[in-house]
Amino acid sequence: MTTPAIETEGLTKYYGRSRGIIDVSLQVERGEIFGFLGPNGAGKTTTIRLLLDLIRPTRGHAWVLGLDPQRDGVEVRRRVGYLPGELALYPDLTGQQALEYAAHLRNGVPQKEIARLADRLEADLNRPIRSLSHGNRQKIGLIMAMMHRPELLILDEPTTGLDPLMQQVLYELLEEVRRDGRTVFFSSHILPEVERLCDRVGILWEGRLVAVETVADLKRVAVRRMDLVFDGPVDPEPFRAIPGVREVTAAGPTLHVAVQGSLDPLIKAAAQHTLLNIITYEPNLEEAFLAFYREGGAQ
Amino acid sequence: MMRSVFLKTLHDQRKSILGWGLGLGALAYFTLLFYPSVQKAGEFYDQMLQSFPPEALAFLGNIRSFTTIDGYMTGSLLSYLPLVLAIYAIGAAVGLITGEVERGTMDILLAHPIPRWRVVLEKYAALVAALTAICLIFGLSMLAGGLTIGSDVPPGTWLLTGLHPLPLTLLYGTVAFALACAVRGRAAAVATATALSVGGYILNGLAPLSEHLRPLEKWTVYYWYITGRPLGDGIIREHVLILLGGSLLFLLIGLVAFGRRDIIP
Repeated sequence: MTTPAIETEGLTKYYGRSRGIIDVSLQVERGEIFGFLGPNGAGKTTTIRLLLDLIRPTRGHAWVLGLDPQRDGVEVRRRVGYLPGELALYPDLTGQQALEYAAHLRNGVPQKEIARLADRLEADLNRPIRSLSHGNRQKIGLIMAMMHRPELLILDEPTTGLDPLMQQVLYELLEEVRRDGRTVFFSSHILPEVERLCDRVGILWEGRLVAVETVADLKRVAVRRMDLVFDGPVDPEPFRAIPGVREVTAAGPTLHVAVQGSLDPLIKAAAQHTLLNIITYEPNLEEAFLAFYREGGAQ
Repeated sequence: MMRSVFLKTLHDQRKSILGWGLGLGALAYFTLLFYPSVQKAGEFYDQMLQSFPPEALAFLGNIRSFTTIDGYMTGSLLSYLPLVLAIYAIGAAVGLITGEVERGTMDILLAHPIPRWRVVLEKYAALVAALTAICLIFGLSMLAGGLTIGSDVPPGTWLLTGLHPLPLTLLYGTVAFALACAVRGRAAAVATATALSVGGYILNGLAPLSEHLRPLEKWTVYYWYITGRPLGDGIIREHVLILLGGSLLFLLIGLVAFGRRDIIP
């Protein structure tokens, strides 16, 4: 039987008296893309740093690829690729030099894989890191995390700073990792990103893991907000009766709607009027979390 | 140069090594150039020396004469040289650990399959190599100065004189290094190591003047340096070993502490 890629049991970290994470028990299976969702300050980075043995738990345990990060840290880090949330690279090195250094610390990495990743991410490896934009540095960090084809990728907010095109490339690369049977654990505070990629998500709230759900369940309860713009004022009452619609407010020809679950009945009702535009807003993590609570889905 | 933490660290220090080595080397070279004229006017300088209060003499390494090469070089440079070099040693030592932790580059380093103790040892080895290189440049500059003024001091003695401040400076650096390994932030490491170096120098100067302070003399660390005179009676091997032993002790403390701590940028 293969051990889970990541397993934690009552994992707790306090920094002095301030809260890091409390009693996080989590299991990430091999071969899945697991999204670790939570607003800033929820404890995502703390959890990740505990898995990498950069910090030590106050109590509880973690196992990475079946190994104890404190006891077998070198072996864990040999088989894991890591991208920190706030990536810092040596500014005076070029991307190529930084990757060479990292490759030496791993006792060698196939140059071909570095070249493949650099090509896919369109990374400029010849300029000093200090002269690169945040997004271009992030690409170097991603290559560094992925170049040794690790069994487990731990990425802390990996799309930060990447333009939308490169975000897509990263999503493709992560899907390839999953197709290889390898595991991805990544943190995010962006719900659509997690919906797009993940098999399962864990939601961290104020240091506690409040839910572990499949993405299908997450989508079912996620609240979407949108503006429906008509050619003139529309009576909001019939919209309030549509299943899943949580909120309707009218402002002139625009209806602001919050809807949970399928959009189909709402769109069909809107189509009975002359609909000029639909403006959608990024789903809100807090609302998704509250929705879980309302449904009693939270642990 | 990017093949190991040791080589990378040494590579990062290259400008400092050259700057400090050549700077102190130039100071030594030009100090030596003045020696013949000081020697010629020997009586004048020795009379001046005798008029100094004992407190002042203590800070010049308790030299008896300016006219010997040992007295001249100790009084004018070697007595306070470890204090100057300590500025580099303490700054570099703290930068190697705290600097990387604060910048966040330690995260990337420790995300690789390299144990923490090896990161500490390789960085420390780079610090030792950098200080040794500076001291060698310093020694070679004195050799060049000696040749210029036609001194009969053998080349090996000049090099030994250059290397003699190394154990003491290394100890100051290692104290800073150990504290940087153990504690977040720079303040504790820099303050403690600076207090040890400057405080030790002052206390060593004052200790012989007071019955109360005298027992502290050997605890100033500086004592174990200034009692050795490569240009005079020679170095005292036991004193060098005591200083190196002190560094080893603090290195071990640093190794254990860094292995246990949280890495928080």
